Amino acid sequence: MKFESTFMRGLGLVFTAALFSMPAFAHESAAGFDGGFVSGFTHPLFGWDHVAAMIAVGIWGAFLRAPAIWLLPIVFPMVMALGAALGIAGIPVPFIEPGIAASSIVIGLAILLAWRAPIALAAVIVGVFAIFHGHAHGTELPHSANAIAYAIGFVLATGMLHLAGIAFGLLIDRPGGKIALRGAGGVIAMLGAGFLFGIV
Amino acid sequence: MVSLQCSAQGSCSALFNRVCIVLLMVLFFGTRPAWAHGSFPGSEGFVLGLAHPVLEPLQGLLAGAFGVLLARTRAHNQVHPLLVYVASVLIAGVTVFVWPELSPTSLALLAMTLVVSVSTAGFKSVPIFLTFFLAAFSGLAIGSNAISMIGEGRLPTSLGSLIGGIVFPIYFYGPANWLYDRETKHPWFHLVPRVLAAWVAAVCIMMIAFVYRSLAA
Repeated sequence: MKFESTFMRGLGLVFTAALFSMPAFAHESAAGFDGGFVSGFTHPLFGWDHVAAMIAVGIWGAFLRAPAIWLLPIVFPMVMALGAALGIAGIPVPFIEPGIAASSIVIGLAILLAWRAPIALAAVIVGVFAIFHGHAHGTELPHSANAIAYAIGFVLATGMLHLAGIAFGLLIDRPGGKIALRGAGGVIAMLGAGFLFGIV
Repeated sequence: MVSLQCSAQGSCSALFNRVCIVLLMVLFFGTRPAWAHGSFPGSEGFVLGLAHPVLEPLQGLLAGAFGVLLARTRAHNQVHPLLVYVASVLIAGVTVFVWPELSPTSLALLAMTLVVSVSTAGFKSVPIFLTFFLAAFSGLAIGSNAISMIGEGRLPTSLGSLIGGIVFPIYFYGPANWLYDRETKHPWFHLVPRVLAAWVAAVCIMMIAFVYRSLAA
């Protein structure tokens, strides 16, 4: 497919650029990147429960195809930011950790079972879980030196994880791709169960 | 003579290309050579004002978001909302220059950026009436935020800042329009600005919470 080849080429460029971006970290300072962008960018990457769920959202979106492939990565960051705002404002939300673990289980199982949920229902499921993820991040946020840099880094990292999931999900049209995706869904669901029972 | 009317079939990209080239030439020839080596701490006056959308991220976010929104408006003529935007920037700029106490808060800029971004992300083709409405309010927010409060060199800095606020959306309009012009060949091209707009909206929501927290502290 043309979409895949162009997308994969673009993704290749992003990864290549990322490889060459290491020396730029030498210039970060507490008032700029260190206290803001890098801190925000790395925050979603340091929790495997978050990483698994966000990649799962991307895979599920690709699995459900258009419009889910782009709708879910639009819904998730916006609702997650709402959850983060609740956390920053100190408004409590119950069952945060079980909710985060359940997100991996539910979305992982949806991929494993090849569940073609209606788009509205998929958006609601993803949105509800995004609240838990956002709230967890919001309550853990430091009093960052550069709030806008932190927020941009945070949202960008989340979006990149979705894109990674979508890129993996595009294997669906390749030989054996569907099996690989469903297998990945199973692994994510098992990881979610591990998070829930404190095994992982 | 440069036509301000876009063709009924195509977009306004050719017109904006012409406007950008003229603006770039004016800026290039109007800049004194010594400024080419100036750093931001050293720059002042008109040039410092031009860079205001870059130095003030909240204003830059709104201006960029409006540029993408304008490209999403698949009206035959995108010039009219742009003219509304320019007029709003100038009206708000003059008003705040005379009455500085009317300068907007960070929350107002963020709320406006959020509305513009959500409109871009939510609509496949933004309705023309909504574009006019958002153009007017974006212009008012940016124009009123662009005015320098420092007494010395206030006029040239503010003038540069107003022009910067008017020019800045075009840099985002261009790439977004380029993508839309090619969406018949690559249907997923129109998704890129929508996803990016959703990310900008997410940043705005978090920033509003940050501002709220800092106000409450």
